[in-house]
Amino acid sequence: MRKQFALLLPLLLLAVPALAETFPLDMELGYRWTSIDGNEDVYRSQINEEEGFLLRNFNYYGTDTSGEAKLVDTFRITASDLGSGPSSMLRIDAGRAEIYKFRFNYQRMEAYNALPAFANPLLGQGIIPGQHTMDRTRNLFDAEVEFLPGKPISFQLGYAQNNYEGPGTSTYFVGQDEFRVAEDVDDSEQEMRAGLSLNYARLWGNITQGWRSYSGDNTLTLLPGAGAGNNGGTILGQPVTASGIALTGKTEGDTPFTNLYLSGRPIDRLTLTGSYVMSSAESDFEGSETTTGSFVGFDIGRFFGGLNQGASTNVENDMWRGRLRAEFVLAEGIDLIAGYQTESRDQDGAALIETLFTNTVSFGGVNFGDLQQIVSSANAIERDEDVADIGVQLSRLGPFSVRATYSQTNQDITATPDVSEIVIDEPYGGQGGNFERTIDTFDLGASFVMAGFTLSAQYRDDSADDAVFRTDYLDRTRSRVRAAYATKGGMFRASGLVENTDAENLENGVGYDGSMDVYAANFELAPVKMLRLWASYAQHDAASVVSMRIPQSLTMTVSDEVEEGESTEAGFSLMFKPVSFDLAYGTFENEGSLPLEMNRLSGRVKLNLRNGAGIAAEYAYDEYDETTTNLSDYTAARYGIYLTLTR
Amino acid sequence: MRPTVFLGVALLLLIGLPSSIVASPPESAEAQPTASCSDCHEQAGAFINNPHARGKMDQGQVPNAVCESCHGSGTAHMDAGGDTTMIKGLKGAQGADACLSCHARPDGKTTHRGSAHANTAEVNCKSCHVIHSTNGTSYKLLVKPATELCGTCHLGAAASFRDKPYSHRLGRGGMECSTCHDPHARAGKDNIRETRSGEVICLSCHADKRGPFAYEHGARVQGDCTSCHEAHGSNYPKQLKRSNVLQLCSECHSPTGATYGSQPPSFHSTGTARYQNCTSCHTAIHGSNRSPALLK
Repeated sequence: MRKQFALLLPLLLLAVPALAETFPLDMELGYRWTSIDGNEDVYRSQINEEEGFLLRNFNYYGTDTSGEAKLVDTFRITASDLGSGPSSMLRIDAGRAEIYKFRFNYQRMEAYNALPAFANPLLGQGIIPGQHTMDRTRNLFDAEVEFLPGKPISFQLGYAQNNYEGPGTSTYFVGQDEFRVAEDVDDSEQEMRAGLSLNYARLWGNITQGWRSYSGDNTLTLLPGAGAGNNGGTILGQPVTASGIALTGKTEGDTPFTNLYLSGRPIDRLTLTGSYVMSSAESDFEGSETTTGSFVGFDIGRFFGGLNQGASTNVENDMWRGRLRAEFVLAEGIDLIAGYQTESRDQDGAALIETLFTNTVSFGGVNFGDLQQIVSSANAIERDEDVADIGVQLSRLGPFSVRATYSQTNQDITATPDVSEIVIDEPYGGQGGNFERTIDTFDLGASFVMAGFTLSAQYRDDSADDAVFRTDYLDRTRSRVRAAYATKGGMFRASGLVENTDAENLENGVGYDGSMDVYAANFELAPVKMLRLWASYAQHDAASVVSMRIPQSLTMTVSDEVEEGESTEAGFSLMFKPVSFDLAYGTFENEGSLPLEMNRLSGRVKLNLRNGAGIAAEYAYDEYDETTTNLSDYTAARYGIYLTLTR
Repeated sequence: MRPTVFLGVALLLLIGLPSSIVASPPESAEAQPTASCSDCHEQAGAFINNPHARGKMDQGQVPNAVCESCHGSGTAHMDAGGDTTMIKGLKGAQGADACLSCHARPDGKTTHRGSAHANTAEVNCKSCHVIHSTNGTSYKLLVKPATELCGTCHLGAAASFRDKPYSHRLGRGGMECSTCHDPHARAGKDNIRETRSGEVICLSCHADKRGPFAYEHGARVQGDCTSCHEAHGSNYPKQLKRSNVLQLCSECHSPTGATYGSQPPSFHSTGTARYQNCTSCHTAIHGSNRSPALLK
């Protein structure tokens, strides 16, 4: 990113004088320093703001005021956090009314993950971070140009790219042990699309035909010093070690897709909309593996000295979804809405996996030489879902408005796994079969607004006749009440929210019972124009129990999950011309399955100079503390100085 | 073309446009022959930077027709010396009707009139948009930065993003609530966006999880990413729904009755650390092309 930033910075600075003369411009540019104590990996996994130059904001809008522009009558550029990461954005819009519209989006996201406890069987030995880490970057580009926007017929051409690459570490299970491996990923997805829009009289529509291609390379290599695996000792007297592991895999995929909608208003009061989307994805994979060492294979009943594997797969996934919707204005302020949606997904997978186990020896010591194993598998998934709904909205009942909706969802899923996928068969297996589920949903909402006071309530009830997953509900209710008050002119604002969700599936020994409660409140007071005080409070409580079976004994136990999170934040903004101050402090404390505490302090002082220019200094301090262990704890200070320009 | 080069070339081309192609305001605008809204309403003159005036500017002036497109004819209002009863005010849900006269064209999921965020006194167009904004840099004419705006009512979701240690990074770097939610769609599942090919919106960034894979995780068959991950904020790594992996996996992988999810074989002795960390071996948990058990 620093190379890109070095390129962007002078370009944007060159552009400023030309841009700033007449039209709105907002820019903030500076340098950020960081100081991390404690576990920097956790800091980077959570916050990941790094040291370096940073274009915090760049917003500019230019428009033609003469009505005589020939090529461009509107131009907007928006950028944020370009530079020292972790995520940044650049968006450019330009166009000429009714001639063309151009849009360009760029996003960059850095994905860093190196945590002590996630999937880390060696945590008890104090080995951190875990063996699953990544330091990768995702770059997204999307450009689209529309010709004749707003005209009866318009056209669009678009191109998008999504690149994801970088190193990481993972584990590979082979021969009854897990080995730490380097995992390099290099994925690229490209999408081209062309569209045609209709905007004629009372008829609107669009059809977009797209082609998406995906190419992914994945490489696993045994890390130096990792040959002993995670588990010491021997199995059946045999040491399990790896002297070499190398896996490569390449995936190529193509997905043509069609997306269309057509909407019309045959009479003033009635709007009809139909839409359809379909995609037909095909993916081909070729992989190879060369692994050497000393291994135990219970699946082949032998010791072996390595394996050479080739895998070749082909998967086809066809999906389509259609929607119809009618909106009818029965009378002013009374809207009736009805809709129907149906979707279908069919997937067929085929794999040929040829494995040559080398130097195999029976557990009794008989040398059998090499053993070839061939898995030729085919599986299928069919999933259909229909949703029908009807609703009414009353929006002109004086200070009241009311909304009510009923919907029914029907799901039909058939999974046909290959025999190679089935680990344990009935009655403990559940990797295939036909599953049907019907959900009835009632959704009610009402609001009251008067003299700056708002009170609204929503209630939703979902009732299902069966569960597909064990954690699917049979009954679920959601309720939400919000109250808000604001004085005219905004001197005082307050709002509060209470939400509750209860879900349960108590049949067939599942014993699933979950609830989530949220309480939140915000206050804001501006006693004088130069001062704004604010505070907020939020409480997140979640509790869930569900039975689960212990694999080694097949006996049932209870999975018990509890979260009790509470946050309090407060701050103020003071404008004492030409200086402004902002200060905020927040604390979040969670009790339950993973007790933790976070404290955050941030401050900003800005000195406004002449002609919209200014200089700002910022400080942010984060403290993360897991109560039961200090392996993840860190404190992070970031401070920076920024030049600002606002016109 | 390398992304860096592409970005640089695109910027080079585009930064020159405003000064060279977009015409600047004339030195002295010619007076309009009739009374102008901006004679009395300062904001009408400043409407120059509002997208509603785009393509309609006349000699550096905002024509009355731009104002009249929403407020109705201003002639009687002017003749009556500015009588406010003679012009259409646009307040609350009634005000939304004026917006909907142009912005009510529904597409596949978007339906401005029937959405949960329109057309009522509690939430209507003006709750989120400043129609008279004269700051063209305000994207979509929002009254506040998008994340802050949604958090005005959705206090719980906003706090979840703000407070919890693992969450999508909102407000900076391009991701907003509206990246995943369509504020103009109907309430419920409809307001969750889809990719252009109709899939769950998560895949528009996480394309490497899209597949299709020869061996899929069942969670993709019936559920979606939110079967295991919290889409908003989470207290747990990877935005998971449970603090430890064994618990997360076992809740489904303990078949009782006719539910979907296989039972792990008995050699998974969950009393040991090795078997408490399922994804230590089942690394290809999002789907695999070479391991039926999602081991690689």
